Amino acid sequence: MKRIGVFICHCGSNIAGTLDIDRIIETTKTFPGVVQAEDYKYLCSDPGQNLVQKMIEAHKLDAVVISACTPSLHEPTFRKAAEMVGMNPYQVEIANIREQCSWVHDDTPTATDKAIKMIRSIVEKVRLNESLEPITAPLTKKALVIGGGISGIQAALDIANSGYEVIVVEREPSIGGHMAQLSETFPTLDCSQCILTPKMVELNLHPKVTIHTYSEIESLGGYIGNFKVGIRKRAKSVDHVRCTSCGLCYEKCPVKRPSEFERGLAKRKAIYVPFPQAIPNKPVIDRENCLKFTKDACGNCEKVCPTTAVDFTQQDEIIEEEVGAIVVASGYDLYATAELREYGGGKVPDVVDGLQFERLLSASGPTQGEILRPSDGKVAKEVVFVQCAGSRDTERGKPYCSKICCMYTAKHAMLYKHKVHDGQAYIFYIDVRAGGKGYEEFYQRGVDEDGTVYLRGKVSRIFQDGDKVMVWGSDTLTGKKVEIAADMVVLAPATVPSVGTEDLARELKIQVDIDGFLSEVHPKLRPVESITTGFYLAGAGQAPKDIPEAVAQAGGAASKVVALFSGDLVHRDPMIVGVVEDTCSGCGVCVGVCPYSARELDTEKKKVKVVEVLCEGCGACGAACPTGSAQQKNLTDAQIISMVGASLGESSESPDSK
Amino acid sequence: MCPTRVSLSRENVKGDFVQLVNEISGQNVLNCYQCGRCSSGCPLTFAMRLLPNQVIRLVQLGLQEEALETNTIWVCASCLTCHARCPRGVDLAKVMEALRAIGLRPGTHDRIKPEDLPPETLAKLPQQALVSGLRKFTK
Amino acid sequence: MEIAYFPGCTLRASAIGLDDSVRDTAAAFGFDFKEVPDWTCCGATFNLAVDNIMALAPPIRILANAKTVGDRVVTVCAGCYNVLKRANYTVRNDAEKRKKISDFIEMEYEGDVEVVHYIEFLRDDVGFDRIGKELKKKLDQVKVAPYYGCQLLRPEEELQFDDAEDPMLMDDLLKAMGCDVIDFPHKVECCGAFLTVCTDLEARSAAKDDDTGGAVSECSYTILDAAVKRGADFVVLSCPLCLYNLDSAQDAIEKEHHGFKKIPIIYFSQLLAVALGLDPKKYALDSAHHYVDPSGVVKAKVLS
Repeated sequence: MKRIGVFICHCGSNIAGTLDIDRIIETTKTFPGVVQAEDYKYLCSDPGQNLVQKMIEAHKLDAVVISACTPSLHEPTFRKAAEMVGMNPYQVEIANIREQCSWVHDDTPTATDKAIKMIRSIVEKVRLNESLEPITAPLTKKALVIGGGISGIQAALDIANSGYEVIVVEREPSIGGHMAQLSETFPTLDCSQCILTPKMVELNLHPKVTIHTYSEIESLGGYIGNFKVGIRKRAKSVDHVRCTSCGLCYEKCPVKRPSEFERGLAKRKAIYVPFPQAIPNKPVIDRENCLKFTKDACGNCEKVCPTTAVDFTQQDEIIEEEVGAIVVASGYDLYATAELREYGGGKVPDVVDGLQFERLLSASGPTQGEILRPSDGKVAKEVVFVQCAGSRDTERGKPYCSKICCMYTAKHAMLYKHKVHDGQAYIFYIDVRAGGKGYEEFYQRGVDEDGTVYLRGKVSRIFQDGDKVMVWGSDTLTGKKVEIAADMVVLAPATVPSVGTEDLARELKIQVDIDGFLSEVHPKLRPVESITTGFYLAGAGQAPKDIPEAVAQAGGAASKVVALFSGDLVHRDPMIVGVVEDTCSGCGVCVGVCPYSARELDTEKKKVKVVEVLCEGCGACGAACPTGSAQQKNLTDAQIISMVGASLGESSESPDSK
Repeated sequence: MCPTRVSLSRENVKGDFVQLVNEISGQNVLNCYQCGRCSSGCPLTFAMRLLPNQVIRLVQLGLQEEALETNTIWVCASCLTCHARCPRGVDLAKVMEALRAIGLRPGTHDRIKPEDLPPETLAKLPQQALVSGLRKFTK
Repeated sequence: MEIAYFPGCTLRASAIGLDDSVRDTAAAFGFDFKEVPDWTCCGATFNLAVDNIMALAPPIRILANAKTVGDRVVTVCAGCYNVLKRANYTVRNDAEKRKKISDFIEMEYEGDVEVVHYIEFLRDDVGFDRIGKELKKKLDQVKVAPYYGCQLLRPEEELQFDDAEDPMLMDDLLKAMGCDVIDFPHKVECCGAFLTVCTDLEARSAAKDDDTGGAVSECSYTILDAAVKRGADFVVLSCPLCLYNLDSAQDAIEKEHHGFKKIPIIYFSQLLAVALGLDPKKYALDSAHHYVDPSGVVKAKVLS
């Protein structure tokens, strides 16, 4: 019989505060096969791991059960520790008596009973565990970066500068993302264009980088080290090789549409470059609004193009690429002001959102940096800023804090005052969250030097009142209700994952959280990795974050990719589902249900075989197989049955497998 | 009202008062994070000595006497503007009703008496006004 | 087809013009409104103390009685609509309260009667298009401020009457009637509601100290001033309490706010009755039923 050691972690008082450790030890010792049971205050610490290693050696243990926190946190820690003293790491299993027991119960006797059953069930499992070796596969040392905003640019540059090839896919006609729309950046007030455009150029000229703009992910297959990605290059209707960026085409285009880049505050043509510093600096045709496509008329652009670059017949093209790692930098959008009905529902012209105000502040924006209100072009003298517009609202908006608004609103008010000296800025806030290097000082400077008036109270209602915009708020510090007849109102809407993030995540088979942001493996210790291996996260698609944080995370994601590429093989979890050839009838049901194309039918032998590197161990085949021949490694039917038995308190009768 | 020092302890902060208000109102006043939006939109603040969010704060701190003393709870017209926009889903009108109920239920403190109303007023008031007024201001 | 109709106390007394105009316009469109048998006061205001179950008995009893006529009940008073609909919502979602009330009133009621406001009825059963076609008077000279107040709209989740921040249902009806409808941001503000009982209280009353006395006129001033400044001829509404407050407060407002211009307050259904060519004298559009006499403006703008 296997010699099993059980270790109970107190986790400070997280576990020991609720569970009766002594009773667990006493009972555990009586389980068949358990030759040693020990407890320790912090098992994951250096002395804790040493204890496990010593016991493995002293008692010649064959397998170990660690009763502690979730395996997603420390399973790798203890497997590595065991491996160092010669134990096969797959002989180590975790009983999660913290998240699944001590944290969710408060009655010590019953919770202790439950913990004992949980440990018993894992002891039963580990008794039948096989020693496994990781599956290795070759590695394509080329990365894909999805999203060409500041995070994607930074991640791509860091990977490329380490010597690896990178493909960048950007949905819009230009790279640059939201940062390209910003005027100046907090807390240093450097001009956003001045610090971003050199990076855009660097990316564009980098010999290791290929950029696909106006493109989207069409399909994805494979696994870490060996992804196959289909990229849809949408028809630009302009041959970018021939185009010389002369600009005659959009000069002569008669169609005017609201510019996405200017957030509707200016018009663009149907054939357009989104902004003057765009990369590539060559136009695309918006087919939904181009007269050639809607009415088979016009054709001006084609007529005036000196290099015959305009090509109405261009088709979408799908290209296939092989990559080893994927950085998802899909970015954010602002919560639609139409949803904020009490704030005019997007219908009051002089109520704008934060990004629109960035365009008004920008020297290259629709007003050349003058603060002119959209309705009549007058200089706005009374400007009200409203924070938490849709954030921190569990009822009608988003429950979370959008994090960047406190600082960009402080910046807005400051820049406004720099431009309109006799104007006044008011900021309605709930709390000012200015944690960050130089942030508190920046916020105070706005109050001390620029006279920004902060009013502590959430605005209730905004409506058009003659040629003013009436704002009803309060100042809870004085206990006064406040109304301001403003010339212009700037909302700081909640930041949300960019449109299409959920569809992208579904295509990539990566996870999103309840608010639609990309999920990381561990919020503290593994913040740049997706739960699905081979995917790395960067930027505001993972959670609201500002530029410094986005850039730092992008660097982190890039270093994970580079670390992966520093080896020559990828190691895959061997917890795959195999085939019991004796019982497999060759019916092929499992081949159909496998989402990873990991199972194939050998028509001659009439047996299914598994392409091990493709198997993700999801278990779909196991559930579908009519003969029980698809057995997951170390989670076989026999193991599950004896675990269930142990959970129900049955005494162990299962025969020793070894 | 002069700002006086109040003494806080477990007795008031964790006391029965918060519990009682929560029970009668079906709300959890601790959900309120004091953004002040209720006060921003309240159409009756001009007649209130404390803003609605301040009354909620008094309840959160368990300061029963101060909460029941303020005229705010009697000025509230249950128009639900606050509830419609509260980002934390607190129905303040129900909290105000609970505070009125705590004052009125002993039966000794009716706020109005029909006989106080001049006959001509009684004659002209819509029935709806009279019935709801009596229901809000008396046991 | 008979349709259950619940007028409520106020409509059988001070708001007779509302009641008559609803019955007559419904009849003009060919609908047979039958009063809910054996009806009582609904309670006038929905009780907000969740431990007070008894306050649910009158509205639920009314709904149970309405069921003997049909599966829905039409009402027009915003107060009654609010109370009936919220009580209905409560028993639909709380089996324990439903059972207690059923036991107490000795009638089985499962929450299965639909409470319908007369404006919803006009939209869904008559159709705004048809209303437009059957008008006998042109109302294009009439500039109106549609006022919804609180009871039709809030809480939105329970009432589902319209968007509680920017309702358009009454606007749409008035537009179908050919009126010039102003953009009226104050249409969802409160008039002060039942605080009106405090307006004329004698000195010995406790409420006198509460500054509630002037509440209604101050609230009303904000609303009316916005309507007048936007050029409205009438404020149009569906609640007798709102009408009383906005109407009766105007003398006090005039004294308090120099230059305030009075404006008549009428029910949407009164305007509808006149527009359909019914006899305007029948619907209390006169000084006997209003503090600010609407008859002059009606004559000048509607009947001319």
